[in-house]
Order: sequence, then C-alpha cells, then structure tokens
Amino acid sequence: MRHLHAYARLGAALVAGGALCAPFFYFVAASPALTALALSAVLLGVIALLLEKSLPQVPPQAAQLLLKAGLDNLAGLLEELGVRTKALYLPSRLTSGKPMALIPLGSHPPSPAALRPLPGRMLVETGPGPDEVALLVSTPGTTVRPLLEGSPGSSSSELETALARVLVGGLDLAQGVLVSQEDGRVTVEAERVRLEWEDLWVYQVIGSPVASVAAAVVADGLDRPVRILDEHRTDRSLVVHLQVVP
Amino acid sequence: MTLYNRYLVILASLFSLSTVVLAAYGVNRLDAYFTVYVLEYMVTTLLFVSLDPRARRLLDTAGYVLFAGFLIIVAVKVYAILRGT
Repeated sequence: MRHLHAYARLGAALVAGGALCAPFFYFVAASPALTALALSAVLLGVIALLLEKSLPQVPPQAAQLLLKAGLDNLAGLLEELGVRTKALYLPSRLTSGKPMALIPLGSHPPSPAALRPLPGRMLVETGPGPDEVALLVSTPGTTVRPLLEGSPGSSSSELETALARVLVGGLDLAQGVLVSQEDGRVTVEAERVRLEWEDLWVYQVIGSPVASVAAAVVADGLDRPVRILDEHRTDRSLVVHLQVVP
Repeated sequence: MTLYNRYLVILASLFSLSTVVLAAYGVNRLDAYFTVYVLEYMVTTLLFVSLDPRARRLLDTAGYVLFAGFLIIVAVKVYAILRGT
C-alpha cells in the first residue's frame, strides 16, 4: 500500500469528514453553525493537502546523512592540510554567483579589500605571493542560498526575514530567528535548532551548518565578506556572532 | 512543533473560535461564516512570512479561490439589494 504522509492523511480525512457531515448538518440538523464548522474542516483539509505538496521530497534523516557525507570530504581535506584558520564567507559578487567560503592555506590571510571576483575553482590565488593561496569551497550556506529569491537585503529585519525563510520555512531547522547588528558585528540567534551539535574540526573552520547558512545569507545581504567569530549553544537556541569585514 | 503544524493548529483554532462566537451571537447565515473564515485564512497566511516559497505559492492560489468565493457572495448580496429596490 502506498505510504501516505501525515498531512495527506489528515487532509483526506478532514475533506471527507467535512463533506459528509455538511449536508447532514444543513438538511437534517438544520444548523448553520455546525454546517459552517464542517465546511471549515473541508477548508483545513484542502490546506493540509496543499502543504503536503510542498514538503521536501528528501526525508530529514536522509538529508542529514547527505550533509554529513558532503562535509566528511571537506573535513578530511582540512585535517590533512592542518588548516585551522576561520573561513571568510564571500558574497555572490566575489564568487561565481553564489556565496562561498574562502579558507586561506598560507600564513598570510587574504586582505578582503584586495579581493577581486574569484574564478569558480577550488584552489584560488588571493595575492601575488607564493603562499597566498586559499580554498574556495561550497558550504551548506552556498547550497541553500537559491531558496531565497533575490537579494536578502542589508537591514537587520530584512536579514531576519531572509534567514527565517531559509532556516524556519525552507529547511525547518529552527523555530525562529533573531538578527541584530552593531559596530560591524552581526548576531544571529536561531531558536530551538533541530540539528545535532557536534564539535568537529571542519565546524571550527567553516562553522556549523546553521552558522554557515547564517554567514552566507548575511554576506550576500550586506554584500561584504563575513567571518564567523564564534557560536555557542544555549538551552533553547544557537547564537552565532559574525564579523563583517570592511 | 514544526512551522506547518503551527500554521494548521492556529487556523483550526481560529476557525473553531469564530464559529463558536458567531453561533453564540445567533448568526444563521453561512456566507457570514465563510467571509470570516476567508479573512482569518488570509491574515494568518500573510503573517507566516517564513513559509517555504512553494507552500506560499500554493496557499496564495487557494487564497485567490477563496477571495473569488467572497466576491461572488458580495455580488449576490448587491444583486439582491438592487433587485429589492
């Protein structure tokens, strides 16, 4: 038997129940209030069926496995190279059309002011010196950026709306997002994050998946490179501090 | 509770509450109930700004259909008033 999702079952039950009860309530019980209640059940059922159609096709567990598999390769590479420098999240303007993370490999971190649009390659030169090379990598933030239509905007409320669209509406990873900006620093607070917290090497470089999404969206919104200063988890939320690089 | 669950629970609560209130005030016209449901649906959908774009498109389409139903009710009322005069 074909497996039906909970929303589909709920929707079908509400539509069928409401459609069967409405004529009875109207013609037999002669109660407009009960008839209206039955019609509201039909309406709710239709809404549940519509929500079912927009649910992601990949189950959350499978999505988490795919994310882990994708990050494992990058983690292995960074561990082999012994990289611990925090990544610089570049806006779409400086990459090949999507926000990406720049991880410096040499001892000289790249000067953000001197950054020009970089080619879409993994190994890029960030200056004339022999050790001025960096890795330009896709992160979870890169892959979710298409969920937003257009630029996220630069004000705190615009960034908050954009991040809520991605983290709450698109990925269902958090229940709410708060954003504040002060003196070149952006604080993102994701409430009730539903993602296991792991202290991995790769997360020290590019940040956790939620921090990566926050950094990519903020970098694109402000059109400036952004660095994850730190992130910490409280009982109910994940707080990410970002530094906007001038 | 996920965003979709919250959305459905809020809508169900609003529909039930408005039905009880209208019934308590002795409202017997189905079009009055329907109009209140449409308003509640549109306001709630508007307030859930972080809904997935695909879900929003589908819900907006449903909103247009409901609004068309609301316009038909208004047109019938206007016609009845004009015919009465």
